[in-house]
Amino acid sequence: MDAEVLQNIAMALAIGLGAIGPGIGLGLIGSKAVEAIGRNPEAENKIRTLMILAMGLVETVVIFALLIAIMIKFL
Amino acid sequence: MAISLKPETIFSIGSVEITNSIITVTLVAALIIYFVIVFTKKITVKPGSKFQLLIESAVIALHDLGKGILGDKAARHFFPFIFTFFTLILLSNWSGLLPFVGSIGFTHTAKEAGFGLPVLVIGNQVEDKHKEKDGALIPKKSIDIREIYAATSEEKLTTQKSIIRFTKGEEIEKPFFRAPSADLNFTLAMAIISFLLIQYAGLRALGFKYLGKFFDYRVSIPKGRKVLLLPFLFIINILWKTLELILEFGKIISFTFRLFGNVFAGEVLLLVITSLTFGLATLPFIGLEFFVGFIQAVVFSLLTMVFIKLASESHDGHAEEADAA
Repeated sequence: MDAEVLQNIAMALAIGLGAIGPGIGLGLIGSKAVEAIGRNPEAENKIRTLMILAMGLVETVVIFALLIAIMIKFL
Repeated sequence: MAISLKPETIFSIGSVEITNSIITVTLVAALIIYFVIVFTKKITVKPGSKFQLLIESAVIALHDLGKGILGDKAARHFFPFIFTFFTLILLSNWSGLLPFVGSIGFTHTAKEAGFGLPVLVIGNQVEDKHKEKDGALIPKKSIDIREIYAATSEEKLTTQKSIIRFTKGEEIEKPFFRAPSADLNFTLAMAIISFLLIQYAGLRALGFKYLGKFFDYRVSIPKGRKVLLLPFLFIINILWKTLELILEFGKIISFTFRLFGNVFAGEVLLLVITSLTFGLATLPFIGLEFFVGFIQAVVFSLLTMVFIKLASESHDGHAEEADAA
């Protein structure tokens, strides 16, 4: 197999497998946040702030995977 | 405009290379300093201008967040630093979206400034060089890092393969401006300053017992028959504290790559979209980048505050009181 073919496969695998975990994680964060707001509508502002913060942190993991994928292909 | 991890040098003063992200961050910092100097003279208690209201709302929002995490006194002590981080990172993230950033620069055919339109370039310059040298097709080998650095200097540039060119614009080889957060040096510097701030916070709150969090391996001897567990407790204590020490340095890495990855991936995304379709199709993605830039600035500041809070707590979880100063 050529190096270029393997590069393509590696890039696809890196971002594909790397996005499974954060995808599930973000869904869980969103669902729990919406459920908490449903139970306690007065705390909406605090919950929304925490949800955005948690999403920012989980998003990092998928950005790491994207970075490695780009570096495999283009560097 | 190729995707390049390394920011390009525009000129050098002596042996110091001035890259395009240094130029941009100098402009951003000059803008912030200008606003600070000019607008603090016109501050009124009953705010007159809308701009003052905007800045006040941002300050109050972040200050409330800080008070919720750190408590009143520590929040007032650390808040100026945190807000400076927030403003600098926010404006650095957003400066990658301005129209002239990334599209005005030196082209490689004419060595003068030109307007270029973004073109996605694939393929390696160095591979072309190898093919030309031998004449026949040679199998591709791994790229030496020295060859990549050599290929980015002006004399050795060869033509590059490109996917779609949609006008007759020249390709920009070295843009004059670049978002500073897309430069690993800037994010690494921010992460190191955060790290030093967290250590200062821990030392200020706990004194030298803060160092004991990582290096004090004494264990309290349990009573009764559990004394037999003492060697295991000791080993677990050593391993745990070593792990915490490693995690402290891991925070630098995670700060760096979180900010860099988000902004750089956004730049790459905009490049890819522009080269596949037309320029206006990037409008929703510019909106996404706007939002992501804001979120990353908030996350950076908030995480710094959270780590400051964690560092000020002693081992059993009670927050030590700082001196009244």
